[in-house]
Amino acid sequence: MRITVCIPVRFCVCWAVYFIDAGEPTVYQREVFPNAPLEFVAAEVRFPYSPKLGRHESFDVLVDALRDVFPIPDREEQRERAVGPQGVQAAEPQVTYRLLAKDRLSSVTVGHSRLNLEVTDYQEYPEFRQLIRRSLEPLDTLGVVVGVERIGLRFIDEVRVPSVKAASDWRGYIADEFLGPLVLSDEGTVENLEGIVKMQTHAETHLVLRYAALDGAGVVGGGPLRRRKPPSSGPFFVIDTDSVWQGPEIMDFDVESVLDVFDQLHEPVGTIFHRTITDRLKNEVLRSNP
Amino acid sequence: MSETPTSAPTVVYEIEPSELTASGSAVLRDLGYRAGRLRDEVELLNRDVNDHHRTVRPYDLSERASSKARKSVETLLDELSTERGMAWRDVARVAGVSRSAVRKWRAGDTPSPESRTRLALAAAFLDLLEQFPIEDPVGWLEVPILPGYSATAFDVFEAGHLDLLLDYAGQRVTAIEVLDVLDTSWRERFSSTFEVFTAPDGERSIRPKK
Repeated sequence: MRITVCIPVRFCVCWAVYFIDAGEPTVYQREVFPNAPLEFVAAEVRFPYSPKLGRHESFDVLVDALRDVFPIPDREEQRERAVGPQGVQAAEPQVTYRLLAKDRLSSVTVGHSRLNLEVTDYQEYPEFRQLIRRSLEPLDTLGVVVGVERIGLRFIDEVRVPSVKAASDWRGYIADEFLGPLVLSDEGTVENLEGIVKMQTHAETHLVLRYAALDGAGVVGGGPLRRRKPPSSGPFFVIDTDSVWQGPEIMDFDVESVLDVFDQLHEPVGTIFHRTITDRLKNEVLRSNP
Repeated sequence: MSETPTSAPTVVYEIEPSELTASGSAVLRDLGYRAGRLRDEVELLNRDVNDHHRTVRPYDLSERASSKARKSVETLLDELSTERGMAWRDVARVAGVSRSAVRKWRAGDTPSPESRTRLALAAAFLDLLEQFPIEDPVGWLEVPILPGYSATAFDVFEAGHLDLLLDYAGQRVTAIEVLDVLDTSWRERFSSTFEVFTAPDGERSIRPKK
């Protein structure tokens, strides 16, 4: 039996949700931070190659269906290059179509084998989920997608703390478990610190957590979407969570089934984020006014 | 300090980028965190190369135009219309004159030095476009650069943004970036009742919207 109890703990921005499942209490405190470090969220659905999906006629259907949300169309060509014994060789360019929101804080991109919904001003999952639905429904109408190979949900946080000037200064703001190699600071100055964790979360889903202490303008930016606020420079800590479904067989394309998978992929993401950071970071930075 | 590791057998530690969601996104600046510093250096170098390229390119175009300007008006007009397939109305546009002026040139009149220079510049520009490669430079100039909007590369050429147009031909800027430079109100000004489509012969063409 599963009981959900919502208790307002803090005015308007914070509530605690208790899931009581078969007598095993699991507390997951969810909070919307005024100064959240979330810079990029992407939802991706990959399909078997569909020649019609990259054509202009299919794009027209998407344009019409999403005009109220993404009124600005754009065409992109991605060129891949391989470096080998013969030198740099260019592959055939892949054409994708991107629809942008007027504020350029979100877009949906469609190619022959994938659809990507990307936002830089993510607010809440239900709202994002609805955008995913709006993006997928025209594909359902077109009938050009025969199945689903992979579904991914990615969140990229860039944590910045004014007092942090070097990698070793992240102690106290990032959970110690993710700063283990800083013990080597006695031997020299740690300039960069990175880690990758890949774990299985359900039978056919896994999660890749990449984290790194870096320096610069950030890992998000330089493309057609703009960031919520201009990027600053200096040290930042990246928390990159990629939650993925990839089954042994191709799943039939059905909007509701795909959304159910996204719900499943979303489940562990918040907990992972909270376990990466400390209460000190929440109190000093994330809960402050931006 | 070199970023390359000490020589060792190939060992793959990292998750392959293709295994990540939105790995091909143009929004993400740096997927390979380990290459961060190296990529910064490459970006700086790339920026220097691009700056140098932008400095050198006008000289290249200018030199080509000078060479074209030595030709007779008749030869230039023939090159633009017969060899390149440019319509006479567009020849008039690139020269900045009326169609009747072009008719007079064809009948033997002499264009002004400014008009002659513009004709030579147009001929040189079309030669440059072929190097990208663009097989049909005049056709490329005439097709709307963004579906749903009537603005063409010709409009950008006519507005004098030749360098920007060459960046667009080289896919260094997007269609939207070009239009933003051409006219910040392009969405209203160039809203079109025509649409771009790929014709059976594989060429991009326009037709009225349904």
